[in-house]
Parts: sequence; C-alpha cells; structure tokens
Amino acid sequence: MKKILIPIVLAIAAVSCAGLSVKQKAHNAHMSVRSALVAVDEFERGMCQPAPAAVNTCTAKPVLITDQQHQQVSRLLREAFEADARLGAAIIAWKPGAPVPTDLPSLEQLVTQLEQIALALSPTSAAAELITRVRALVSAVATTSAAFGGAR
Amino acid sequence: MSVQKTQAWINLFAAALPMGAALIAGVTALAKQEGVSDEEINDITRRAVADSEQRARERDAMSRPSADAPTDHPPSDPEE
Repeated sequence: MKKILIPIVLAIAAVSCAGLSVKQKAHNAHMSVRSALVAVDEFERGMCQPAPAAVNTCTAKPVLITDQQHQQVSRLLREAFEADARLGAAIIAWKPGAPVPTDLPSLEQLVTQLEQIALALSPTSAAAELITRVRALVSAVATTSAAFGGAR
Repeated sequence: MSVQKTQAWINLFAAALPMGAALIAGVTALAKQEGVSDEEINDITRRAVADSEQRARERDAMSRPSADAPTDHPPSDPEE
C-alpha cells in the first residue's frame, strides 16, 4: 500500500508546485537572494566595524579584513544591491512571457567576484563564515536565474 | 471474508492513515503558499527594493578609496 501511496503523494505535490505562478516562484527566489545578500552585507560589516567618521576604513581588532578588501567588497555589494533593486522592479513589472531580466547575469558575475575576494582573505573562522554566506548567495542567485529561465 | 483478509485490510488502512494525513497537510501548506496575491508580492518587493537602495548608498560610501576619506554623511550634490 505504501508503495502505491508514495508516488501518488509525490505526484500531487508536483502538480501543486506547478500550480504556483511563475511570478510567485520568481518572488520566492528573489527573497532568498535578498536574504543571502543582506546576510553577507551584515556579516562583512561585523568583520570590519567601519569607523563612523570614515566608513571605508575598518576598526575591528584583530584585523579580519583590510581597508582595501572592505572597499572592494563594498563596491561589489553596492553593485549587487543596485542590481537587486532593479531585479525587484523587474519582478513587480514582470508579466508571463517576458524575457529574463538582464540584471541576473550581472548579479551572477558580481557574486562570483565576491566569492574570489572572500577566498583571498586571511584564513580565519570569520573568513570561513563569510565564504559560506557568499556561497549561499551564489546558490540563491543561480536558483533565481532558474526561476526566471523557467518562465520563458 | 476470512479473518486473514480482514486483518490484511485493517493493516492497509492503518498504513494509509499517516500517508493521508501527510497528504492533507502538504496540500494545505501549498494552498496557503499559493494564496499570496500579486499585489502582496509587489508590496513586499517594493519594501525590499527600498532597503536595497539604502544599502547600496551605504556601501557606496564604504567603497571609496582611503584617500577620499569619506564620512557617513551623504555626499554633497555637485549640482547644488
């Protein structure tokens, strides 16, 4: 009996998931990108502890990330948040059959660069945590691309 | 019907009960997930966009080379 029921349950679940609108799927994926992006943002701020009077410099002791690395990460995060904002606007305006938002490939490139910087940090537990968060972001961006790709 | 057949049917229903409960729970959860309207999605996304724009501005100040010595105050508009 169980052998019969399991495929039935899986089939019903698959049909139900297929019933979700593409916009809903893209929204869910976008939210996962945003939360991963915010997690990277918050964690890097914690590693750096930017000086209030000069936010491009770090005050954390011991030094977990150099000022230059903090500035590089910040440049990429600025571009990533700008791309994320444009992606959000695209989701609001998105209609079935519309093309994949052009910001997705750029977001993928940005998070890949972010991963390279994270990998170049001195090997500390904080750096390892940052790498983990950046990789979660890379994965979330790939999922979002797939969500939009499936809409075509 | 023999006792053995009756017992077999009882066993089948006993096995099906938890599966049925899981099925109902799953379908209910999916139905709730599907309940989010486009308008709700747009509202949530608008708030997310505003937050991303704010974070982008903050990261812009953090991304300048050290020689620029930025502060956490917003830069003055050159057109002003």
